Amino acid sequence: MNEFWQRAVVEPLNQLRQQVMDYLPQLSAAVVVLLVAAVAGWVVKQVVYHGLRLARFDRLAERLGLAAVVERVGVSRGTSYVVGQCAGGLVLLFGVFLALNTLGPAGSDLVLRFFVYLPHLLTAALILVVGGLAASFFARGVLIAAVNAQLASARLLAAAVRVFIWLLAIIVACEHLGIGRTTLAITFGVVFGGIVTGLAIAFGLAGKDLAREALESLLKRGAREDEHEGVRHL
Amino acid sequence: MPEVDILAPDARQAMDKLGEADIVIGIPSYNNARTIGHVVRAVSAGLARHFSDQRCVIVNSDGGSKDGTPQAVLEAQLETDKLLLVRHPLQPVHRITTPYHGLPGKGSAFRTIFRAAQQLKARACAVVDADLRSITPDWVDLLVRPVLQNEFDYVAPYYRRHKYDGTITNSIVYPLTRALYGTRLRQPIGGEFGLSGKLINRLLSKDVWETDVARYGVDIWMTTTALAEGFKVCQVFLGAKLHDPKDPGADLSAMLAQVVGSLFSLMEEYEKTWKSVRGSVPAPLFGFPYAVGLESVRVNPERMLTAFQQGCRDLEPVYTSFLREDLVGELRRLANGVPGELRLENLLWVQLVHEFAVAFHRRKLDRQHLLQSLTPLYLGWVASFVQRTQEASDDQAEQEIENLCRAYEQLKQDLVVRWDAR
Repeated sequence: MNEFWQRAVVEPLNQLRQQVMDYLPQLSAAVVVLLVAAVAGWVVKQVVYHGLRLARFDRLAERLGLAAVVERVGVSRGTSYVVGQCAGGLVLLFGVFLALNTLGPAGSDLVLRFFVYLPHLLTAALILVVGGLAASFFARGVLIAAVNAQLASARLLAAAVRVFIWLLAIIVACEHLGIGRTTLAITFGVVFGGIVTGLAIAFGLAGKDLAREALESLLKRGAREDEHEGVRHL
Repeated sequence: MPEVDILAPDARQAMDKLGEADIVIGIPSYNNARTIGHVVRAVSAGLARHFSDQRCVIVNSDGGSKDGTPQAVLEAQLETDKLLLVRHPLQPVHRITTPYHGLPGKGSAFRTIFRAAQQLKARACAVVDADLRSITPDWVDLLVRPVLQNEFDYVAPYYRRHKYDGTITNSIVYPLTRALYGTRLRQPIGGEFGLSGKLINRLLSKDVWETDVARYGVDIWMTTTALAEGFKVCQVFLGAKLHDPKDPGADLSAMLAQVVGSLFSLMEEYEKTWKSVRGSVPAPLFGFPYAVGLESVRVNPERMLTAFQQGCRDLEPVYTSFLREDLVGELRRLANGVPGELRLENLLWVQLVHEFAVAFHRRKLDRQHLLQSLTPLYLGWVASFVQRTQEASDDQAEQEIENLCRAYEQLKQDLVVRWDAR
């Protein structure tokens, strides 16, 4: 019984303790590295942020049009803040890699695999950012043009454009990450083709008079404006 | 920047042959065969009557008309025996018709005319629209004489127009230009202008001819340059302005964006000049003002009000991104109002225009989107103006415009503060 207890419980526990004891210095080092990286990241963020503010970087960014881009993304605290955050984030990321490396071969392998995958990840992120900006830009353009043309479904049109561009961006990003490559493309093709065909048939069968009227009114718009408004703008 | 030769070889050859001229009259055109003959005859008669001893050239700068406009210019005959001239012209009036290069638009046509005037070393140049139906020979004298005799550099027109003719001028261009630069030029984008050789040289030296200035923005650009750079400016009374409707296919939104975009860009260029200006003074007015009978214009504001309300509702997320919260609230209230009782008051309109200018300056939104989103609000102001002045005489309507101008002047300091705010 005593032997069994020794082999079944005590020895594995001893082994675990030994492993923990062996691993503890690496783990502690990783934690220390992470803590140092966090503090360094915070310091770098503050230094960059305040340094740029002192150097009036926000005014320069405004003149270059960078501030507008930052504001459009939804950050209202200025370009210096964004640059500071990025600098701090980079230091922290560097710390994370360093910490993983201190964990030994497993950690190094993880870092290596991450770096191999990083270009795909960055490309996908870039595609999503550009896709998001393009979706906002084109949706807003369509909304304004549709409102100026007094189309009742202006908001619907703009929403459709936004969804379409986002979908396209997500599919392309997923392709870069190797997620459901063919499935996503085929699904998108089938759904989009189906919607277009369905709309074409529905419009052709049920709305041919409406289509004719819409085209006629579009062609005669100039004349109609004069008739109804009677105002000479220029 | 190297100077680009914008004159067509034929035109350059003709000008080389002429050598120099005292007066150049420019007529920009595009598919104006119906009216340009009358304009050329009126100009020729004006030159024969008032400047018979001067060397004069008429330059038609055409945008590729398909209706035979250049032929109409060359074929327009002036029957001098019916003009009752005091003395016969000592110099023949030469005519040159040439296509212009660059972006399609009035600005590119002006550039060619100015280049011709520069090449001919003209002392004075006047430009008149090709679609005018009310031009008389005296217009030439009125536009050119202040330059030749009184040494003015820029002569702007002063017309009697129907109260609903030129609403972009009345709602934004005139009042804002007046408040910004402190000079009351009633028609800053009138279409007819007189210019000195000095001002032409200055305009040609600027690198703006590939921008919106090349399109509808050229008039406000010339006026602002003259005002902001201290050129001597005056107005001349030309009577009534009757003209064919502007390009019926032209989109209001694009037109408004070009004019207002030019105005706002110029605010950036001349920031230091306009910020220090307070109040306004009238520009000297030459000619004899008289009452004229104007074409009646039938106006229905309902469609404009519908467009305004739809704009306020659908574009609220766009407006929220750059307008002050209280102004968005006001627009929301108007969007839900009863169309018949709606009024976009002058003070609100002026604040909106100022906010658009500030947002343009700070690039808070893509500039084209920003400018195009002004269209529904502009229609709202026009509809409100129509409702306020439906029964009013032209003079009473003019008083309404004067009230609007005062609102712009009253709120100017707020604009300066908003413009500078970080």
